[in-house]
Amino acid sequence: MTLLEGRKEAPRRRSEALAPYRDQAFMASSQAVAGLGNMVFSLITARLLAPGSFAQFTSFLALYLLLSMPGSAISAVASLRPAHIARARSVLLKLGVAAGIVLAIGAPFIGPLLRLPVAMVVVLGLSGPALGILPLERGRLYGVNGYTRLAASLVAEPAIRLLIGVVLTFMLGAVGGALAVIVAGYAALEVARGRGWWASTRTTPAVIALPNGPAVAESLEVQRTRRVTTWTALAFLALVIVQNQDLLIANRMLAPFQAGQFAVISVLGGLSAFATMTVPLVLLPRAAGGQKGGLAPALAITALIGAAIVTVVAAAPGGLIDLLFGARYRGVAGIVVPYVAAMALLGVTRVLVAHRCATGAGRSSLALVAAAVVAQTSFILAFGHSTRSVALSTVAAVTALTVTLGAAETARTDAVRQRLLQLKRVDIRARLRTLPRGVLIAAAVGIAVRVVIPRGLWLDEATSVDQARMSFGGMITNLRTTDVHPPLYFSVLWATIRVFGSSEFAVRLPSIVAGVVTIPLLYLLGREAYDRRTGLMAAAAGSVAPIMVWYSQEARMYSLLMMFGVLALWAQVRIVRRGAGERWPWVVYAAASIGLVWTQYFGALQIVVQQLAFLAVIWVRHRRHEPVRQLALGWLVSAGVIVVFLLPLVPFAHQQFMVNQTAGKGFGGPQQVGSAASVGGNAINIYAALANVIWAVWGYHSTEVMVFLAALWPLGMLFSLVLLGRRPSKVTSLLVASVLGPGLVMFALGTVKRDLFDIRYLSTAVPVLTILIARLVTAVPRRALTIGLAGTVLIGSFVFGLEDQQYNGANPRTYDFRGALALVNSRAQAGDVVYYDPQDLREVVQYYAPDITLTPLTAASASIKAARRTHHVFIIASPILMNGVADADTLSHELVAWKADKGKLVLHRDLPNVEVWEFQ
Amino acid sequence: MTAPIDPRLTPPRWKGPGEWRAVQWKLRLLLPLSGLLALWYFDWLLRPSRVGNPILFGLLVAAELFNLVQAAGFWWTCWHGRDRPAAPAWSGPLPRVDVLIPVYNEPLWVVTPTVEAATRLRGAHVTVHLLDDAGRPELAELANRNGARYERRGVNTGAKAGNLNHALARSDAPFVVVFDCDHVPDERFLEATLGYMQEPDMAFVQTPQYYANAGSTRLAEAAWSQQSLFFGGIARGKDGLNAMFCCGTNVLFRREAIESAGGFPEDSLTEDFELSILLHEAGWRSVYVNEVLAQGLGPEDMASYVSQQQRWARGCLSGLPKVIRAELPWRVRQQYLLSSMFFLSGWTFALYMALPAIRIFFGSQPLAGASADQFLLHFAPYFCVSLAAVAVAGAGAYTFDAFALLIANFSLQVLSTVLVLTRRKGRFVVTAKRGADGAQPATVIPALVMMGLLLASTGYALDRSITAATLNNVAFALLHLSVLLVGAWPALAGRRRVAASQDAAIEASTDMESVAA
Repeated sequence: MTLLEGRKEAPRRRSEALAPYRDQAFMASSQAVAGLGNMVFSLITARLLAPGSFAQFTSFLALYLLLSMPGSAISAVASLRPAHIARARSVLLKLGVAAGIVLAIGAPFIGPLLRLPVAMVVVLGLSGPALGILPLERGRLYGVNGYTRLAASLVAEPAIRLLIGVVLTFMLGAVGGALAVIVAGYAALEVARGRGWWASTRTTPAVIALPNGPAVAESLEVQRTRRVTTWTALAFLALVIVQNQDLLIANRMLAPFQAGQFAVISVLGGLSAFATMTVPLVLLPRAAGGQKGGLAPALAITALIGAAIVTVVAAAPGGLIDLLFGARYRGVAGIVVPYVAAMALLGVTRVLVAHRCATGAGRSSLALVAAAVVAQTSFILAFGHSTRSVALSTVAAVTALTVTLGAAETARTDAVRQRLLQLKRVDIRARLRTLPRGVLIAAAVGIAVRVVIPRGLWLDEATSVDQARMSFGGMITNLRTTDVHPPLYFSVLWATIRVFGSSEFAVRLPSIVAGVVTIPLLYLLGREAYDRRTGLMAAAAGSVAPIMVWYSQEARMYSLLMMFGVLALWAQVRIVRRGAGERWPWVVYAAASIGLVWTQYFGALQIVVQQLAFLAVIWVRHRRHEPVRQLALGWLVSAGVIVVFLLPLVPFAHQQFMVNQTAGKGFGGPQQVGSAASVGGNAINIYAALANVIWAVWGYHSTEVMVFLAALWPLGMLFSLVLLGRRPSKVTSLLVASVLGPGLVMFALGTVKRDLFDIRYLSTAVPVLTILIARLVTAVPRRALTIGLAGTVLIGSFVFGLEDQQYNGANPRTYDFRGALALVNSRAQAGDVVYYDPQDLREVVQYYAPDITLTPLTAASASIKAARRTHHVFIIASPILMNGVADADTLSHELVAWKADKGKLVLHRDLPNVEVWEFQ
Repeated sequence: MTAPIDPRLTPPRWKGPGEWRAVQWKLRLLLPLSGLLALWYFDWLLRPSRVGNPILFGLLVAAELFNLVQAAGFWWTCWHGRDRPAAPAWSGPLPRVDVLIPVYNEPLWVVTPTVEAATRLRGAHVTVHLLDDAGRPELAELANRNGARYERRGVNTGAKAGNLNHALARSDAPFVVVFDCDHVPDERFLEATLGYMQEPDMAFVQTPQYYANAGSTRLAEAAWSQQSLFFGGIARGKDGLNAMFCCGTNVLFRREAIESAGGFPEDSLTEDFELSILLHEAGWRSVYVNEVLAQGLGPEDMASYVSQQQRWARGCLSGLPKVIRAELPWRVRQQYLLSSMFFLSGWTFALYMALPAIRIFFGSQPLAGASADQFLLHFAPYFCVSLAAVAVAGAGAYTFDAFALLIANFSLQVLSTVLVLTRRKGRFVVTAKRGADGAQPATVIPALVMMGLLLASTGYALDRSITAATLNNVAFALLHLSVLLVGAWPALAGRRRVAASQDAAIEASTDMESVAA
């Protein structure tokens, strides 16, 4: 081949490679235009019609679509066999006419059953002849690459609807609108058949053609094609049910206004679902014809369109509904985003189904979609008592279906298959042996340090346990209506309690495990980011890092958060360092990022930093003319996946926020319980920042120790001077940004709500800071001896910090409820009364004294007076946890009242942050 | 084993134009922030309620204001950083250039590569003059061997300046290049500089004074780090302000300009600095080319460093009255003032180091009516961003070791000020090109005394009741102690043996080559 020939061939290959993108984009654009037109028509009808009529009209549309259900499958089949539709056309016409007649005759019965006007059902019957042929003709066009005519047919439908539909709706109401829909369908058919000016549109030969081989081979190919078409038709049929059955059932089950609300959701969701309708149909014939490389463009375009629509809707769901449907439907704003996201996912599902059907996995795909149909129906029938629950049923079913299909499809790729085969052969013990002995020792030390827990549960932990002891649904509801955290950690705790019970150790087990896993992850990140020595130093430091140990021993989400944070950073550094070709680091990155936010909302801050880092890397490489396509693609896909998986959290978080605000506990509300212990002051100031840094590195300490440590700030100047001349590497910049970015945001938020500027909400920064310190220790000293010395000093200081944190009773974060309740348990007799103050102690005192009747101490406690006369009275109080003066006043009042009654104080015990009084 | 290569003959490590553009971009972001934070700090500091011990407060404010002026001058200079395009090509017939290489007592292995490289300069008709003030026959032999002219004067007056003036009188090329005898020029030196001389009012073109031996010892590295800040952000800024002064070597002069100033001033320790003042006063212009075109040897041990720094400090401080009197454009005058007054910084370092000790021993402190967190809040951002500006301006080359070396030698500047004020005559001492191998604690005695004082105050404080305020002062004392220790360490630990053996090998190989030739 000459050089010139090579030059000629290059553009041709690029053109071929881009063809799937171009065709998909063209058809998607046409569909978008059509969808937009249909949307405008729906909006106009929403304005013109009363809610009940509008619900009827959308039900009609859903029915129309349901009747088009075979048509959708027919399109798929016709796209696979475009040369063999003549007979099918005749059969479909007859069937359509028959169906129309049946509908028209049965209208008086069907109408009331579906709460639709009889005339509307008759109109629906008119659509019969076109119902099958229109998709057939369109499918044929997909099969012969007749995209131009297809586009014309798609656009013709909304154009006609708008032209005559508005008038008809105005004149005849919902029935008029329905009539316009039918007429528009016939117009689109005419365009697709090509009898007008558009008939001159050239088409290219079919993408797939049956091979002209020996008769046996042809027979086999025909059989294969039949199998493909059958599974495709059935699977697409099932998908249409998934898309539409919720509307039909909602219309049947819900009250008219709620049904109208669901119709609004459905219209917006339909926009998302229909926008990508063309994509699988473009893909199908290509994939069935053996063309490679069609799936990625199809998925990319589907995800892109879906994400765009979801973004638009999520930007202001309430405003959008006000604008499009009127303020009366605003009540569904909270659920519309997840529903639209689910419909976007359904688009992805369609693409996956199309590809799998075309490549020989039709039967399993049908099974999965059918299972989703059953699950969705079951969910709706079981829980569908409101607009929200019906929508959530669909969201759950579609999400599960997409994830399952995605996993199944991924498992089919050669690389993944190989990987799975390798995984089966993996010898875990051999893998563990590849970790340096130092990491294993660090992990062993980490386990030993973490399982020795010197303190009992405190307030928040007891609350977690209390929630996790509920039924799963009850727990989720409780979280949504009373808590401020996402559900992942609680779900883990819920499962842990079911398996291991709810002893102190059991409820802390998830945190311990996450804390221990973080140690080797620190090694991996340190090694990936810098070198083996840094990794080892980070693992060693992490094993005894006080704050990491603290949260590994707390039945809260922060240990899990740290683990996900390190994992996400490690995956990102690996991707950027070693190239974006490997898929599994992307999967790890996306999963860890999703885990971050599902564990704690502030985990999103690290995601933002990492996303910006990806952008920066891509930009820099692009400027250097280095290849970035793979990285950019991976980034886009992972970002899309993260967004999709985070969207369901949005309404959850929104409701929590609103509930919290309404309860006066959010922004503008009082300080959180325990905050007095957390920062050592109510003002946000430089010492608060300093305190957080000290906590992050050396853990929690008594106020006295903290004051002394904070006074050493000039040594921080030495630290900044030492950094002079050390130009941070890109990875150091990323790690520093992962600490500073969230830190600054939380500092800013702290100016509005003081409690938020607390190291626990910045947990992701702690292990990163540990790695940065490890790097400092291994990089600044020049000799091995000095490095060893510096490392010893670092770890020694951590051990000192850990010891003081764990065993200094003056640590304001240590609460000895266990000791207090043990004391009460040992002394209380039948008839004695136990009071606690403040009321927030309910869960923790109940945890430790489940068999004792416990009563909150209130100013209006009447029983206490009576109890004082005959029985012993115990009061358990935690002054540091008291909110404002009310709780403290109650306690003082009661103590004073007791003295006034000349009662006898039998016992007063001052335990860490808990006091116990026993009166006789 | 192959013989080690003379570091001056290996490619230099200096930033390319793209990197300097990035530096400038970052500086433009940082400098306004630095200014704002300085205002924030001084607005807080200069309130009447802050006055604690009036004397200490006055001293602190004076020191802080002095450093603010220096910092503001630094920011102003760096803001004007200029990256020149390549020099225009010389038009017309190639000019004649005299290359002057003054030598005093430097060893042959130091001088030989310089002379050899000077004879290979392209872009002009070059005559190399080896100006031997010691009268060593081997240098005459070296000159003969390389086709250079060997100059030996009868009376050694005026040190380096006198030697150069003597050579000027015996040569007549319209352009003159001066290389210290350890600076090996790149053969492109004249091609990269001569083009600027086509502008008739251009007096000299200065290029960086690069220490090729920066990697040989920790001190050499720190000394080069200090140099890199000057020849990076500062020199680029001075060029942008048309105020670059001559640095004595690696510089191309117009003979007419030197002659108009009456030759190199012989009564100064920094003849280059004073000549620059005279030239700028006479309306001549100067240019800085930010490209390493000659590689030399920096000080390798503390004694050499102290000697060099003391000469610069005394020279620049003694030039201060001349700067004040000279009729210079205000920008140029400010630049000279800033450069001269930099050598007063040692006084402020001494004060800062003394304050925690005074607080611990006597309970007196300059500030009152302010809690430690307020001080931290106002001072820390100013400090950090100023430090970041220095780091960026030096393109990451300015290191903690360089800073610590400056601080540990605070007494040099104090002493130089006293000597200048008392009009004690200084002697031109050539910076040694080979470091001594042993420890040189005598060179850092003032730093050791200060360290002793800080250590004693720390011990004294910890022996008494420990409060947060005490600990805060102890932390300050430990900060200063750490900086002083790092700065003085090269003098206490001595020179690294590996580097010493390497240099000995270079010397041996060069001398062998000379003998063989």
